[in-house]
Amino acid sequence: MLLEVRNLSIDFKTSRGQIQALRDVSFQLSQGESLGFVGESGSGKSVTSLAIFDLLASNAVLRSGEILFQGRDILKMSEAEKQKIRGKDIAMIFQDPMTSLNPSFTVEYQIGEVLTEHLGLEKHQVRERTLELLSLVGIPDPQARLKTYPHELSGGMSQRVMIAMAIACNPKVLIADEPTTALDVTIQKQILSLLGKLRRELKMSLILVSHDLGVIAQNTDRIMVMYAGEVVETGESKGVIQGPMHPYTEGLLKCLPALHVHEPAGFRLPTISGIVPNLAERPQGCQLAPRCQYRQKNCEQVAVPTTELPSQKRQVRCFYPLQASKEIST
Amino acid sequence: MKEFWFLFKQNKGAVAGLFFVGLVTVFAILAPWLAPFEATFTDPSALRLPPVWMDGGSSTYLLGTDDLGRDQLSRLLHGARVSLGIGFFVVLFTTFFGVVIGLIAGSLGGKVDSVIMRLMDILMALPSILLAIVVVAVLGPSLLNTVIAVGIVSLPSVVRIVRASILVEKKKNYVVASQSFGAGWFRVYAINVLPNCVAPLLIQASFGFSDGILNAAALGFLGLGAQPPIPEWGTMLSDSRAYIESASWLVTTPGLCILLVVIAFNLLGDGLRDALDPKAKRN
Repeated sequence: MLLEVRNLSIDFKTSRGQIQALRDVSFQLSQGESLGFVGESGSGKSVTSLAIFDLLASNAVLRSGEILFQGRDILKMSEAEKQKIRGKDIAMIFQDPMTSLNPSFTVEYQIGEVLTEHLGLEKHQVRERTLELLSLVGIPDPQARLKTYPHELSGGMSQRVMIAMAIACNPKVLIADEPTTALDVTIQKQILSLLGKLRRELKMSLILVSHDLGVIAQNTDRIMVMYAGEVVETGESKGVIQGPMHPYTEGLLKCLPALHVHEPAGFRLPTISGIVPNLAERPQGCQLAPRCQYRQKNCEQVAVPTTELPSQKRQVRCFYPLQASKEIST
Repeated sequence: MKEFWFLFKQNKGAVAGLFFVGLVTVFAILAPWLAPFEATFTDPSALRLPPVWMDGGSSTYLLGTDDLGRDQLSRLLHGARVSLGIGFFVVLFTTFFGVVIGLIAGSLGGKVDSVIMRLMDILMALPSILLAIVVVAVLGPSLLNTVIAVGIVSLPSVVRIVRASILVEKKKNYVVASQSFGAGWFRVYAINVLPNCVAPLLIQASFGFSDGILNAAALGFLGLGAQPPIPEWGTMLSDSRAYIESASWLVTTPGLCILLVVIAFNLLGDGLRDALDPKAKRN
């Protein structure tokens, strides 16, 4: 297994006390696979991806868990070892490309920095490789772009430069944290297909983080649905989309406008009523219980364990998984 | 750069300040060639001669002579060298140490930050001239020690500015991005973050120049700065204080020089701030 996260629990110390940002998050990522994290804001998607770099804010507390990269726990590595892995074996693309590039340096310098630091390339090699990377990410006239500063680039172009930096050292894992949220829809499509293409060509594993289930479904092999810092459902993308087992996944799917194109005008999109629980005052039992239309008595009282369904390659954190109950009822 | 110059040009005072600073710098550099006499050349036959436009003035000594018969104009020109030199080295000193200390405080945070900033608060709490006197008293009066003393006095403001800008930059995405690409502490802060803090530093340097000159002149006036016969403006003021009524030009000219240079640097600093600091942009 290339990357394996086991029972990761992370707290944040805040002025309102210690809040649990991640609870018992586990997932695996194999070579060449693409995994999608879906969930609302605050569900722990970004915290999980930053945790893989061990770059959480200083008020984060690791309660339990390990992050195994090629069998070694990243959280136990020395700072120097982590720096060797960051950007070289595991690289990240951020949500807002315009602010993720350093405004004081040229495109060439910023990509070159990664190359010299990790690969120790010579000056002329850096120039060559930078040009190669820029054309690989589909930037027209790379030669002319070398000396540009980030403020001279559009959002889509900046994100392409970010991607070029991220793939500079042929990383084994590429984490894209909402890579298209700040971009408009046409650019979004281009960037996503670029990521897919690069993943196939460079044989990378990809973690795609998004709140948009549609984006995730189209671009990943497997999906991990998160809610309030917990993983509620994991499974193959196709399977999850066609037959969601967790009520939250079902709710998310029903919210997708694309599924309702045949509805008459004036049709109101369904929503998941209620709001995400305040992480400082979590519900006792199932985190979704107050918003769940299927809830039973014990949902509100007992913490829900994750159920493995090996036949469907699915893990669900629910007492009453949807399809299973349907099977029973029919 | 073009935008900077456009904004800078709109501030007429700043342009005037820049012009005057440039002029004085040229005078300072060319002083040995421009000055009609050596700074230490004495003419025993012409003691306390008034400037050329006053009764009894001589065209040999355009701004008159002092109590030892030294040409006032030559001494002022050479004094420009000393004063600007002090200003330059003070700014160099404070910027270097201020950046290093501010960078450490801002990036490490926590206890290190608290200790450094409390030390800076203590330095700031002491009246600047008193602190400078203490430093000179410990190190002994000389030109170099003047630079050190004045430098220590203006260190806290630079440290504060650097730390504040680092704290602002620290929260920006590119810092995490840079860390996620495997950059260590030094690369993240000293190489990637620092260049983004240059604007406030440049403004501070301009004000630091004038503060440095002023403080050095004050030390010189108290006899703790440059020692005679070095033609430092503050020292010249102090030497001629006894003749304030009989030969007023001896006090007026170095005083005017200090005043004009300090005003010029302050105007320049204001202009830089207007042009570089986006928060101060009004339109």
